[in-house]
Amino acid sequence: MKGSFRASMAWLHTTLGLITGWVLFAIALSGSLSVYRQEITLWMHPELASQRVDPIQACSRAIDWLGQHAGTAAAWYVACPTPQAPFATGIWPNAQGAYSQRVLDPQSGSPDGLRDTLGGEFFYRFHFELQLPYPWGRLIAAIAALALVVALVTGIIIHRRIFADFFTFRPNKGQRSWLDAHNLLGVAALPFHLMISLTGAVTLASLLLPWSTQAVYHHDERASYTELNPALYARPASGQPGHLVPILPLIQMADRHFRGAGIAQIYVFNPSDRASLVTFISGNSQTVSTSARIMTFDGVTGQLLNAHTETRPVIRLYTFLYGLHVARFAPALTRGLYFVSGLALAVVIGSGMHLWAIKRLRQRPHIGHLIVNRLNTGILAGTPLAFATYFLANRLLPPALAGRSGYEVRSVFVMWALALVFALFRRPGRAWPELLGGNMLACLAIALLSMPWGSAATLGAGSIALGLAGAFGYATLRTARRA
Amino acid sequence: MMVAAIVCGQCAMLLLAMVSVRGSGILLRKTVTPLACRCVRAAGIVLLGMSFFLQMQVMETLVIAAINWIGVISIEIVMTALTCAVIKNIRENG
Repeated sequence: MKGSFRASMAWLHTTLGLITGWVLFAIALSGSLSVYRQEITLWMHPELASQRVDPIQACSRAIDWLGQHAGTAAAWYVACPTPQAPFATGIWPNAQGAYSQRVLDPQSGSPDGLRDTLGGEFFYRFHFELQLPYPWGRLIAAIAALALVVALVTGIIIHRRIFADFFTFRPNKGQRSWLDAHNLLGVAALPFHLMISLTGAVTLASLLLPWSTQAVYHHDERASYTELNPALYARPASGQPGHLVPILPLIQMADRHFRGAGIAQIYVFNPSDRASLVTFISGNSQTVSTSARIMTFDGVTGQLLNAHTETRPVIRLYTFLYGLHVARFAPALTRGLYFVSGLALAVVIGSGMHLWAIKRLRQRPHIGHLIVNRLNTGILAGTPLAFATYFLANRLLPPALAGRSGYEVRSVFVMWALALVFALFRRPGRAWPELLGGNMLACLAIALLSMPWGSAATLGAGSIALGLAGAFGYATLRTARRA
Repeated sequence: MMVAAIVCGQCAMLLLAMVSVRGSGILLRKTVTPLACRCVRAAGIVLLGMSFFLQMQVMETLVIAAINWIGVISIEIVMTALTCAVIKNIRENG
């Protein structure tokens, strides 16, 4: 890191981009998709009939089903139906501690007849956990988010002609065109990119800066969690059997208490124990902030133990920033803009990585540059192909296959690995159009599998897939012509 | 109202592109005087403000209006840049 301030910033921008670029590209792409995670889950459950759902009845039936089929589980976590996601989702741990997650039919409360899939939840989780065990995935995502903030700020500093080149895109000029695309999308969506990276880093701040929590709570994570969520706590099981009170009256009481916000989630801790607890968390789709009202009842007596409405300014600020990131408040147009801006961020990262490689290959290429260039091809063209494979696997695997949600997820990583190996051993001039062509075909297949586009989910998925197929087709033609 | 906000924003971007260093050579045939340049820029900024005002009328909260406005404007910047690229390409290649 030598020379002027601007040169130092350029070094920092390039180095951070090089180190975190591949991870950030996958994070940006999965983040964009997780904007529509509920719709993706709906698309991945074609068995679910589109009908009006009573969230209270659906939650009650889901808990009844869990009582019959997962009675000995340590806890049940139920996400209640919403207009975007007209189904309940149940999560519960088995005796070994592994979690099962199933969409539950709103009419029967049962997952029977519904295919086993993680749906859009896979993209949401992958976005910040990277399919790695806690805390490694989240830690890498947090560091990458922070690196993105620094890369954006240094990008502004090193962009000499930010105003002169504001509306500039010069196609068919090789390296210059890539730089223009990188700068144009980077500058145009800069406020969104800064907001999303900063709020992403804040969301995972406790992993980046754990020392204050460790100092105040003396490594007692439960104490810090309880103070953050005073009405949301789990007490240990007593070891004595107990029976849950009828859940429907409790749900109705909580719904009345939340006054129109609705119930977003229900947690039941120690459901078959005398120390059982039932916690209701209100919906928060009407505000940017994700802060919610919480009520906790004794599961055996039905007595209200605690109720909390968040008013602490610092926590409200945190939930506001978190809310900005996850966009649960967002109406359709805003979610569309989040999706497009997220894709723009992926293009900014991808063009930056490609630019780095082609610039060095023109100067004094050595084996490292050649490998990075080939891996770039595998990551940039292979990641969307791997994600598209997830959609295809959902429709191609037999619906009744045991453990099919695991196979769906595995299909993503198998395709990713194949794309990387293919790109590593194939000349980039050939690998680019071939992988991009694969993306085009995969998107076309998703559009076809969405037929007859009768519901909002299939119409949305089909039209987006068709649009992406067109974009990939154009890119395939362009790269094939140059090969 | 939303359509009006989007149209205002796009017009604002085209006006600002007209008086930008590269855009003026593409979107305008003659050199613009500094006074006209300032007027066009001011008109662009007014239209930009107008588009934000219209967004605020459509959306429930200021925060959502601001997010939408930023998102729409970023797409309009890209559209303007692509328009300039297409016009330049047509001029150069007949």
